Amino acid sequence: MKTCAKQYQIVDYFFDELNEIQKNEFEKHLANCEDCRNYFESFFSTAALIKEQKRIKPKPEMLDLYYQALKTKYPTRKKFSFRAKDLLDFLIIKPSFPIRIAEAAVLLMIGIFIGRATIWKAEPVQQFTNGNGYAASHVSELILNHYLQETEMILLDVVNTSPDEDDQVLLSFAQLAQYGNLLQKTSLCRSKAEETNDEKLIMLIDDIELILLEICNIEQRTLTEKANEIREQINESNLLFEIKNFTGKEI
Amino acid sequence: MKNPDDKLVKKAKMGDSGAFGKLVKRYQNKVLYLAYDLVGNYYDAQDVAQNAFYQAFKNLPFFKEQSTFSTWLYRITTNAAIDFQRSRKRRQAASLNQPMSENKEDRELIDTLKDSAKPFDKKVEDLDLKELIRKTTESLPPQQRAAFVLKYFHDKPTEDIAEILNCDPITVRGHILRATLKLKKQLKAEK
Repeated sequence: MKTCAKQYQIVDYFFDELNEIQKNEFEKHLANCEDCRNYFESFFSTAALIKEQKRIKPKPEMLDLYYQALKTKYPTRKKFSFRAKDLLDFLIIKPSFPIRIAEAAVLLMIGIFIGRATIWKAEPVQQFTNGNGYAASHVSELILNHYLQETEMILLDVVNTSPDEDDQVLLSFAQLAQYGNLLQKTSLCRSKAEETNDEKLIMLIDDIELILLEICNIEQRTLTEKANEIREQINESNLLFEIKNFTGKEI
Repeated sequence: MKNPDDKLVKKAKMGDSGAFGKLVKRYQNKVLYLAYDLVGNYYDAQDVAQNAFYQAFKNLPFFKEQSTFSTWLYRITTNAAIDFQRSRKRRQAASLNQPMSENKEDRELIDTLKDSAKPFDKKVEDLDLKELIRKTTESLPPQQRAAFVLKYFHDKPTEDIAEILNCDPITVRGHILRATLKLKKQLKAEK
C-alpha cells in the first residue's frame, strides 16, 4: 500500500511539535489528502484517550522502601574519609576558600620565619675599638657608649654638687642610678668585656661599679659625709678622665 | 541555557558520591515510573530502577556528555527494562506449568480499587482501559513499546526519544503511529 510521505507528521502535529509554518502546511495538506485525513482521525481519538490515562500509583510503603534503598546506596552527602586522595583533594587539588586563606597564612608565616632566620638575621656584634686602644669585642658599641654616658652624667653631677647644697639633690642621684638600672648594665658590660679579655675595660667597669654601689647605698643620715667620700673617690680614681678617654671625647 | 544537572554530573564524575546521590534523588521517581511503564508492575520496576542507577553509577566516568544526563539515564533505564523483559520471558517460558494466581499486577489493581475515591463503575472502566493499554503495550516489540511509553506517559519530544532509543526520529514516529493504531484495533475488538 502506498503511504503518504507526510503521514508521520501526524504524531508531531498531535503532540504539538511543529512550528507555526509547518503546522499551517500540514493543515493544508490534511485538507487535500484523504489518506492522511483518515489516518489522522483514526489516530487522534485513540491517542487522546491514551494520553488522559493516569498511571496507577505505587503503594507508599513500597515507595518508602525504594527511596530508602537508593538513599543507602547513593547518599546525598559525601562521606568523610581519611583516604590520602580525599585529603589531597581537600587541601591541594580542590580546596575551599577558607582552606585557601588558611594555607596562605601558614605560607606567609613560614616565609617570615625563614626570612628572619636568614635574610634579616641580626647583625653580629661588631668589634668596638676606640681611638685609645680599648677593644671591646662582642660588646655592642651602642650599649657600651650608652652605659658610659649615663655613668659619666651621674658622676659629673655628684662631683659638681657642692657639700652645702640640698641633701635631696644628692639623694636623687642615687635614685637615678637605681632607676637607670646602671648596676645591671654594669654587670652586662663586664661579662661582655670578660669574654674579650679586655683588661683595661674590665678595670674601668670595676671602678665604675664600686662608685655606683656607693651612690646607690647612700643613706639620709650619712648623706653629707658619704657624698664627700664618694666625690673624693671619683677624683682619686680619675674615673671621669678614664671614661672620657675611653669614649674618645675631649675632657 | 545550561542544564541544571551539568554541575552535579561533573562533580559526580570527579568521584563526589554526594553529587551522584543528589542526581539519584532528582530522578528516582522518573526512573521508577519509566521502569513501571515498561515492565508493568512496581515490584519489578523497583528492581529495574535500582539496576538502572547502578549501571549509571558504574558507567558515569564514560558518559561523554554529548546528550543530557536525563536522556542518558532514560536510555539506561529503557535498556535495563528491555533486558528485564527478555529475561522474564525466558523465566516464564521455563515455568509455564506454575499457577499465575500470585500475579503482582493483580494485587496492584486490587489496591487501586480499594484506595481510589472514584465511583466503582468508573474505577472498573478506568482499570479495564488501563489493563488493555498495559496488555497491548506488553505485546509490542521492545523498541516500539519504549517509544510509545516515552511519548504518551513521559512527554518526551520525538528527537529525545530517538536519542534514547538510538534510532532515527522517523522510526520513532512510525513506532508511535503503529502502536496507537494497534491499541485502537484492540479497543475495537474488546467492544
